[in-house]
Order: sequence, then C-alpha cells, then structure tokens
Amino acid sequence: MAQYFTRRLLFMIPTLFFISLIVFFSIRALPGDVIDMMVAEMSGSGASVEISRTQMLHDLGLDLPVFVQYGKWVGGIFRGDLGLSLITRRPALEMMLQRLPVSMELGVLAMLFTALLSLPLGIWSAIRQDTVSDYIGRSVAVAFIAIPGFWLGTMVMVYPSIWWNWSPSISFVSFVENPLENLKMFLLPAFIIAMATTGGMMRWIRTMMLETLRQDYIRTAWSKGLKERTVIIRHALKNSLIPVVTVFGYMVPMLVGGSVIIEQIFSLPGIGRLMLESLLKRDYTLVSAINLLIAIVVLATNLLVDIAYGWLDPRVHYK
Amino acid sequence: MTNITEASAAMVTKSKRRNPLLSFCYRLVKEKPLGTIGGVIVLLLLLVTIFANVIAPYAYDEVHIGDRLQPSSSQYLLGTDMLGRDVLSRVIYGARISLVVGLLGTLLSTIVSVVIGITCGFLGGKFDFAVQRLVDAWMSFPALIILLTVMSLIGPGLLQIIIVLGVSMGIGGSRIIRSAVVGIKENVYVSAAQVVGCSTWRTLTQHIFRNIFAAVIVLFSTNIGGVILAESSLSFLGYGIPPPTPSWGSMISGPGRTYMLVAPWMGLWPGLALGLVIWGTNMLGDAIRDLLDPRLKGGVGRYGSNLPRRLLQKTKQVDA
Repeated sequence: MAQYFTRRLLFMIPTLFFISLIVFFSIRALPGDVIDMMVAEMSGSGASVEISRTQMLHDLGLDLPVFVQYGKWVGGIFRGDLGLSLITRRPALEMMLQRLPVSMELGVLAMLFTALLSLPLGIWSAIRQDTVSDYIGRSVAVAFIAIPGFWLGTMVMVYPSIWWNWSPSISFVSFVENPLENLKMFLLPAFIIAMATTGGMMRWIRTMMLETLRQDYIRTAWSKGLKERTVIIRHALKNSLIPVVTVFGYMVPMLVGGSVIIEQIFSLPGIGRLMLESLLKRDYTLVSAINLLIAIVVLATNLLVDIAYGWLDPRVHYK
Repeated sequence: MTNITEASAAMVTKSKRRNPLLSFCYRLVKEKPLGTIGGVIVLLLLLVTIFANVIAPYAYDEVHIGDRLQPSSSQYLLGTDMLGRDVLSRVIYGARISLVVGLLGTLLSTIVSVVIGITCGFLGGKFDFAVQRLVDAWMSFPALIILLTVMSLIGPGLLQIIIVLGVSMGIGGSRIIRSAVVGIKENVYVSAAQVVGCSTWRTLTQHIFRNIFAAVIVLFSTNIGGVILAESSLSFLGYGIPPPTPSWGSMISGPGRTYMLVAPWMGLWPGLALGLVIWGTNMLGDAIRDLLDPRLKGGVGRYGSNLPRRLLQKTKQVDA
C-alpha cells in the first residue's frame, strides 16, 4: 500500500510537469495581435495606469528567453506566487482564494444532490431492469445529461418571473451573514449543476447494481428467503457502491465545468465567474493561475479516489 | 463430399452477404427501443439539416423590422427575435451548425484518438509512458476550462471550434482506443503477422485497426452528443460561433438573455432542440455500444458491466 502510494505520487511528477507546460505555453502562444488588442482594450477601458506594449510583454514575462521565463514561473509557483493580475495588480492567488468558498459550497451541494438523486434512481432502474420503470429511469438520466445547464438556468430565471412574478435572488449573501438566505440562493444553481453528474452517476450505479445482482452471493441471499429490501440494500448496494465512490472523483472536472456557466448565470462570485471575467478582460496571468489551480485540484482528487478505492475494497490489492 | 462443401461454402457467403447495416438496424429496432427513438431523432436531425432551406419558412438572417419580438403566430410559428427574424427558421438552420460541428469535430477527435491510442498501445514502453502522462495532464483540466482558454486565444469561428473540440476530445478518447489495442496486441494473430514478415504499418492497419474498428465506431457515436453540447456551451459563453450564424448556444445567450423577459421564446426553442438532439444521440450511441461491442461494457454475460474490466485495469496499471 505504502509502495503503491509512493509510486502514484512519483507518477504525478511527470503529469504535473506536463500540466505546467500546457498552462505555461498556452499563454506563451498568445498571438502578437492579441497583445496589441489587450493593450488597446486596457488603455481604452480607462485603466488608471496607461499600459504600453513593452510593459505588457514585461508583465507577461514575454521579454525574456523561453526557458528563463518557464523557470521563473515554476519557481514562483513553489513560492506560492502565481503572478499579479494584469488588471487589478493584486496577487492572482489571493484573488482566487477569495472566490474559492463560493465554488466549494456550490460543488459540495451539487455532490450532495447527485448522491441523493442518483442512488434511488439507479437502484430502482437496476432492480426493475428492462421494464417500463427502467426505461423511464434511464430516459430521465439521459435527459438530465442532455438538458443544457445554461439553458435550464436561463429558463429558470425567466418563466417563474413571468408566471408567478418570482425570480431567484441574484444579490449575493455570504454564508456567515445569513446562512439560510445563502443556502436558498445556492440550492437552485447547485441542482442544475448536479443534473449532468446525476445522469452519469445514475447510469453507473445501475450498471454496478446489475453486475452485483448476478453474483452468487445474491442468489444465496435470495434463497435464504431474505426480504427484497435486505438483499438489495444490505448485500447488493453495499458491494456495488465501492466502484461508484471512485466515480465521485471523476465528477470533479464536470462540476467545475458546470459551475463556470452556472455561476455566470446566477451571478455567484466563484472561481468560474472569475475565470470568465478574466478571459473577457484578457487577464491571462489570472487565467493561467486558475487553470493551474483547477488542474491540481482535479489531479489531487483522482489520487485520493484511487487510494480510497483500495481502502474501501479489501479485495483490491495494490502490488 | 465436394457438393456438401460447396453448398456450405455457398451458405457462408450467403449469410455473409446480408447487408450488415440492415441487420444492425433490425437488431437495433428489436432489442433497443430507446436506441431506436434516438435513431429516429438523429435521422430527423439529418433530414432537417439537409433540407434546411426547403423546410425553413424564411432565411435565417431575413429581417422583418415591423415584426420584432412577436410571439408565436401562424405567420411566425415560434415567434420572432429582436430583429424580427423568424425563430423557427433560425432553429432549423441552427441544426446545421450543430450537425456540422458534431460530425466534423467528432470525426477529428476519433482520428486523434486512434492515432494516439494505436501508437501508444502498440509501441508501449517509455513512449507510451510519456504520452500517457501527457494525456493525464490534459485530462486534469476540465474540458470547458481548456476549451474556453484556447478559444479565447485563437478567437471564435466555425473552423477553430471544430479543430479545438476535435483535438481536445480526441486526447481524452485515446485512452479507450489504447486499452483496446493493448488487449488485441497480445493475440496470436498479431505475433503471426509479425513472424510472417508484415511491416509494422501493415500489422497496424490490417490486423490491429480492423479489430478495434468496433471500438472506434462506438467512440464516435458516444462522443457526438458531447461535442454538440460543448459547441453550444462555448457559443453560449460567446467563445463559439460568432453571429449572425445561428448556433443554438448563441441563440440562448446574448440577445436571447437581454430580451428574455419580453420574448422568452427566443431562448426556449433552441434549448429544447438542443436537448432533444443530445438525448437522441446519447441514446443511439449507447445502443450502438451495447450492440456492437459488449466487451466495452465489461463483457460478463448479456448485461455485462464495467466492474471486472475496471478492476482488471486497476490491477494492470498497478502492476505496470
């Protein structure tokens, strides 16, 4: 186990290296005319500091040889310095950490919704396989995947306000100020983000349950005369949930992607919105900092999930 | 004796001659009701796309100044937008964009997946290790994040979005092809081909590729929905296909959102069309996967699942 853990950590080094390359070179590959555009936009948008092309190149670190730039950038990362935002001139890390709680709350709520919705749906579909309820369950799952979150989010803002003169509140209340109001405003966006993941998760749970239901020990459980509830929950569910846990890890990228759009629609000041804002203002130091942060979070979750897998399922032996 | 052989040989050729596409459709309809509904939706999308200029009552950019923001009526079935353009016609032409991006993007992504997957799976060793870490790195970025960054750098446009979506999704999909190749490489016929003196190229194309072809088709059919959805998400955020080309995603954003309280139908219909098409492609893709390659599902009996394969992969990865 310890050996496996070390090997996994060692495997992460090349991956992290490539991540840093991708983030770094996506900015390096900025076409020159985009820099001109950035200069024009920034001096045009009434930025207090008049900015010149050389200044911009210097801020992006583009006036140095590539390897020196990369070395400086990576060195900065190890010191917790992700560069200064081009617009606000504040450290990128600080700006991200400010926005992190909102995205975290959204993500946790979305995960909660996913678990609460996908478990009953998946189990129901599996134990009623190839019946009408199974077809309905699976259609609902795929519908959840198919309904674009950005569309549903927009519709939810529009139709209730037309029909009942009600619309989701978009003035942000922090959890510390008023927990109830805060939750009220997070529930709807979290649910919409959770829809896509629920669809995938439900189908995964269904497959896992079907697999488990065919095992010998389930037949034994039935022939012992156990109640359906006991067979399903005690014997089948427990065993099929182990691989499901790992999928929760793979959901993280989907949740991040979903929250980019949903935070925008519901005006929630999270990381995703920061990402869109900085893309729009062409604040590329901030963009690369966000990309790096998200990639590292995803990588870390995958590692945790793989370790949890071995811990939850004693049958898996890591050699 | 010879007669019997000839007769059976004739039978074999006869049974082989049955159109595989037809028999596949037959199985689809018989075994997969949901997949059939998906297939009908995809077929409808195809027809609408091909005959867009026949079906659509107006051109997608035909402006009726006097009829701005009209609700649905007999003249404009789904209403008009803020420039007085017919929403129905724009939804119909939008299908074209979705399908073109969906098909070409998925085609490109499948090619990328096959090239990376086959070289990695077949060559193995240090090359494989290095490329797999690169794929790991790429997959650590949520798709939307990396798509947004790249699209913001190279600017919006139809060709750009096809290339970006194709390459990005292709890198992720290469995993599936690679594991299929790794499984096939161990077969005796591959060694036999090499012993007989086939060139690497011939082994790859004639022996490996032919045997993973089912996996390639499955990859293609399961990816299409994702590509269409990604295009519309990008267009919604303004990084996809620029106006006035009617993309379903951009019809929901921009003016669709500005005027949403006055003319909610501007965003309602493109979204419904999008949802329907993605639902259909997903259902059809799943059915094709189940019918073509039960191994991809995990391959235990008829209702195989992913568990054994995943466990196998886990242990394999750990062994490696």
